[in-house]
Amino acid sequence: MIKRSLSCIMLIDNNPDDNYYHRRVIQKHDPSLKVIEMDSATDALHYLQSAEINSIQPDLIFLDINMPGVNGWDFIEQHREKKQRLHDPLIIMLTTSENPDDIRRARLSGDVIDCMTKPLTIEMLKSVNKKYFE
Amino acid sequence: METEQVKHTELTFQLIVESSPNAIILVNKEGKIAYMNSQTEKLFGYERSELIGQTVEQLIPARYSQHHPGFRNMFFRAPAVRSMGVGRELFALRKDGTEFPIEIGLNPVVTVDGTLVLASIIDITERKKAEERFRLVVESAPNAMILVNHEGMITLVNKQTEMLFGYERNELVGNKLEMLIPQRFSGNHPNHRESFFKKPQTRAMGAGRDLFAKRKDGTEIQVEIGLNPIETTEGNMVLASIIDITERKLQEITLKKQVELEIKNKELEQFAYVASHDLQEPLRTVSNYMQLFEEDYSEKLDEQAFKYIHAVNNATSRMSMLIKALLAFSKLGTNRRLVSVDCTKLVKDVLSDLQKFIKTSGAVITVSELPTINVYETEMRQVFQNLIMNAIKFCRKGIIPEVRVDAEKLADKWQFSVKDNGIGISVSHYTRIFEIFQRLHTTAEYEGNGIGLANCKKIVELHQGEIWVESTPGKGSEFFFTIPPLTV
Repeated sequence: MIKRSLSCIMLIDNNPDDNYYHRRVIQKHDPSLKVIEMDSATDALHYLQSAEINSIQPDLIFLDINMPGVNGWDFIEQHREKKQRLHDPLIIMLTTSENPDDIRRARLSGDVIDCMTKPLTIEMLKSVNKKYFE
Repeated sequence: METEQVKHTELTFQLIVESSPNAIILVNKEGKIAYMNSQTEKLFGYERSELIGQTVEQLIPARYSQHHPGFRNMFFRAPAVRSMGVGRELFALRKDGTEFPIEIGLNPVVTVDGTLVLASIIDITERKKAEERFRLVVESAPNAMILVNHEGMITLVNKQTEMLFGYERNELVGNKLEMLIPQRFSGNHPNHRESFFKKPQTRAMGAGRDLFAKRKDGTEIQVEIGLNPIETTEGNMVLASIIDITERKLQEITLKKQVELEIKNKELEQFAYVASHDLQEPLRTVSNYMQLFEEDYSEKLDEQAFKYIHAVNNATSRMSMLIKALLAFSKLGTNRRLVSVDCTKLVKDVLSDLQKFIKTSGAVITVSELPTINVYETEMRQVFQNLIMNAIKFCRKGIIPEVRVDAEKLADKWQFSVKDNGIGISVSHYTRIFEIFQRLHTTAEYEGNGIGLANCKKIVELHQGEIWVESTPGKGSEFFFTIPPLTV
């Protein structure tokens, strides 16, 4: 896998408190990283599909699974269908779910590269950076 | 001419009697045999010349023959075509002294010599044998069997019937079948019987209905009944074969309850899973934001404030631990699979996992030779781990913990024991310690989540075993659990 550079992370979680906390952790890890918080998968899809307006696009998405309305799986589905973007961020499942079914499903889907359990920590970010980015 | 006529009639008569398949004897008022056919010779083993002129009582066993003249006189007083000895069993006596069962038809014949009686005799030995065979078959049947006639009268029952219903045979035979049917059903039974005899065929009774029978003591049993039409000389009958299915029905109910319980358990597991998951979320938020709070406001906080934050953090991490334990408890035994496990090795693995803990405590642990048995491996490891950890943890201050793991083969199961020299448990707590979240000590005294022994209990019960404790407070405790043989 060609490693890319990480300069922007998108957080998709219906809980804004989690998003804010995770932003803090990310910035503690690397203050130069940009963080985009999205409270819903619909908003996130919208953002990703409007690259001309939103010039800053994420290299990495931390995606929650259990969300009201469009959930994490729906997001992955719809995101895959509209892959005309130039930008194809890596997706990591970040959730409280330790449901073995969810984890198995994530492993099988080629869209999710990793599954992690909340909360995000600096150690987790370090290992992601080392594993997937330069 | 007249004599010729008579002669001719006699000849015709003789021919008819001779060609009859039955033994036929003509007897006069005095009981003397006036005529007999060759069938009679064959049947009784006498030559004709030996019998003609002799009394007919010669052909009757001694125990009946004395009453016979009386019966004979009765017949001659009102001669009519009828069968002899209705309702009684009749026997005849051969020349060689052997007896055989017979049926006799009586016909008055008016001749010049006066009225004679023509007795037509059938040897029913074979039929009796067949009846006896039938009776034996019925008797040896594993089910209760009852033969009922067209009027609903019981004509035959077997030993099983006596056992099932608690009646003696003679209390049943000759009585109405309805005596064995609970009152609320017996009213309709004659109609059912009527319709059976209208179209007799082998079938199960009361298809789709629950059938009940009434025993002598009034108790009811649930039964299954098979009906077989049988043609007998006494008319059409029905042979009912009855099985007591009370036990089976009880088992069905138990099984149904078991299935319901399993579903309930599954629901509960799912509930615990979802609940613990949802509980974990806000808890995490609390602890995350306590951290942010500390980071952002540390300069403005005094020592007291940090103490509060510390208390909140302690509480949240403890609650998080409890929720995780609850989740683990609810998941216990799902996806379990029985495997043959060498328990000695299992315990060794546990000890190596606990190495650090054991070293710190200075505990001395002895493990006897343990059996290789079928268990749920991961779960069983947890049982040993919890019991050994408890044995070390609940030690008396200043006394080196000594733990002994043992196994003993009982008649139908293995009994394991984990013994310590710790603080012990008072009798009043023997049950409570196995309940979830029940603790006997403060966290300050002994760390714990109150779930270890609840786990052990649930796991041992998954193995259809039992767990209990025997203890002397201040001296030590011994935990026992049993594991029966389980099939993989």
